[in-house]
Amino acid sequence: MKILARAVMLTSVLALAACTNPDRFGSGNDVNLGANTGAGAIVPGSANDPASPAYFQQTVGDRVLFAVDQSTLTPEARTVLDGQANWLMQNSDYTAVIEGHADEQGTREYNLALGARRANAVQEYLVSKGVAGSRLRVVSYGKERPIELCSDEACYAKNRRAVTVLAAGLSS
Amino acid sequence: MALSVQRCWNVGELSSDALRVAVAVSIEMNRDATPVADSIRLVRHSGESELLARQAFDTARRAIIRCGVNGFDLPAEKYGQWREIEMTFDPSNMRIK
Amino acid sequence: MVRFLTLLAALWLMALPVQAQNGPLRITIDEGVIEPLPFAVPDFVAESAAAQQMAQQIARVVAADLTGTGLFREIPQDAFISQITSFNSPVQFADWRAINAQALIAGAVSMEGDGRVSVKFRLYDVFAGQEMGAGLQFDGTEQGWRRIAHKVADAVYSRITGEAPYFDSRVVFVAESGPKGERQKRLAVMDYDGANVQYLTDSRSIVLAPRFSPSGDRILYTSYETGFPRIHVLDVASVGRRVLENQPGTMSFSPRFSPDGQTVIYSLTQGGNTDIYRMPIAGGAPQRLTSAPSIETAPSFSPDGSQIVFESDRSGNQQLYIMPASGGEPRRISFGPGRYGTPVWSPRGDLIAFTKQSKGRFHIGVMRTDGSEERLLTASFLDEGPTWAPNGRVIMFTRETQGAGGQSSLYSVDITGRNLKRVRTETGASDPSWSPLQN
Repeated sequence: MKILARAVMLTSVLALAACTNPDRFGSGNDVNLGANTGAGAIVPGSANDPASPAYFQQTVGDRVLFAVDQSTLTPEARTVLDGQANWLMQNSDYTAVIEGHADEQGTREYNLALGARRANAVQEYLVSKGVAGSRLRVVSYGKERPIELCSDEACYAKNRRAVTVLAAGLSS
Repeated sequence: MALSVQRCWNVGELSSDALRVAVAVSIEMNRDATPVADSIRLVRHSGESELLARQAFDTARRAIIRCGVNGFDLPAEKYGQWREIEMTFDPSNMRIK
Repeated sequence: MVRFLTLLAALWLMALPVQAQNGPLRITIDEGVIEPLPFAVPDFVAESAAAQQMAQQIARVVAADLTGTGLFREIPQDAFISQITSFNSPVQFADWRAINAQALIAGAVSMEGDGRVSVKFRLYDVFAGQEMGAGLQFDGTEQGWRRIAHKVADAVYSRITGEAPYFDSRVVFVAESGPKGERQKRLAVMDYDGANVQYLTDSRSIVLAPRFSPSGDRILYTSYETGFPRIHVLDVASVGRRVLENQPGTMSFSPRFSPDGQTVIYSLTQGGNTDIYRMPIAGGAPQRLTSAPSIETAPSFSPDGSQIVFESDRSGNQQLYIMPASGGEPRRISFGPGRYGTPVWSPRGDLIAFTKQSKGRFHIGVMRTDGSEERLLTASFLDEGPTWAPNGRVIMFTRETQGAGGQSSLYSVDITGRNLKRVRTETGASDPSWSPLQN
């Protein structure tokens, strides 16, 4: 069981690397040139289609991380969110749910509230960058959905996150 | 005798409220230094209710009977002095903190 | 042993001067021992052939209830010198004294064949050679035999300890399965000892922190069924449920009933800010009780309904506060180092149980309602979410183990800090809430 879980994690890391590297070194400029440029090489919906949710997730970056018990956006987080705001402005068909999370070092209720603070910080930032508030909703999962499972700071750091999850269509 | 009763005085099952109650009990003793079981009476108590006093008394009575079952270590020649005993059980030092 | 006798002699000499000239010898005992009280429970007498098995089972549950408190120790049946073969024949006290049984529980079971069961019992103080209180009889159904056993044990426990009973009670909790990263959660109820588990929801949505109503007939809980955390109320008998609080753009969680069952207090998050609100359980306009930019959550009523204890990080980290039930200026009660959360007022009103985080460890603790006499009862990687037994003597909580294979389970501990033990559940378990004593 443990071995299986590790194998799955490894492949997902490889997949991520495979997607990330070409973007970073090859088609990085495509983003600025717009979604239609170079369409012949792009498989619509795949990670190298700049209008795709996969591109948003992997290239723009769908998540920002927080310090312990904090909901303040770091400079790195702001950079990621600038990218998210640009993408959302260009792809106005999408709405998003911002999911706030906490590490396991906290009580359940407090962590729900803390996750909400984090998600809200992201929402406010995106709105300040011009994304319509009506396209964004927030939800907190507290410590209910960790992505890293160890009980060390290395894992906690990745769990203290806000993830912008795209959904198709305008919000109701 | 006090030490012997002490060893049998089990307050572990008493509620924290009952542990605030001191009870004085009177005992009549047989010549063989065993207590007369049905002579054990509650003389007075410091409890707020009869119920709490009753529970405190029950543990005191059990201690006396249980440890006195083979007779206490008392000098037979002085039976007159210990024919009647009044024993005060004060748990205030044992309160669960 | 020799030394002990010498000590006795010395004490005897010391005690002599205390003696009055006339009248009784006066002795003060101010030391005792704290050890489990030894008791014996022979199989109950089966008064009809069909009752044979149940007569044994009931005696076993009574014994397990008493032993489980840590205040009693069962004398094994193979040590018995005499047996109880008839409920009304005289008890051979000498036989029970010889094995140091201080309390003896004798009972009888009869089954009428119509599914009705009748159980009677007597409690004896073996060393006094007499009954403690009058014999009692409980009637119930065949399926409800465990409840009858719990009622017998409750009566014994109360008579000996002076505490209010708590065995005939239930616990609602979150049953957990699946790996840590995608844990499946279902609402479940069970008897306080882990028996008779019943699942109330499926695992399609995350459910959190259920709370019993004061009469035990309804449960408040948080569910992600709508995609967002929202408070739901569930009827235990029909398992019917409805969303209680559903303002768009908000999240609601951490609900709790008022002592009269009419009002719900809870946390509502709007624009990233979490405050405490109250609303009638029947529905109606929420009333905001706190308005601070900090996190206010985990509210719990005092048993008289006049005050609310809750946690807030307005000071910079989580601490406990008390405010009037209608809102108003909160008074901080926790001041120790570390963070304090999830306060719960005891049913007796005298104590508040809480979760404390300090130096990377989690503790369950209790303090008086003015914050004094703080006492930590447990310590582990992650302990949280205390709930009180109906008599205010025992606390149940969630303990989660460390690491990727971490699992949650339920534990209970006496308010003295003694008798820490795991509550057996067939799945992982978290967020217990103890029901009141059943009727």
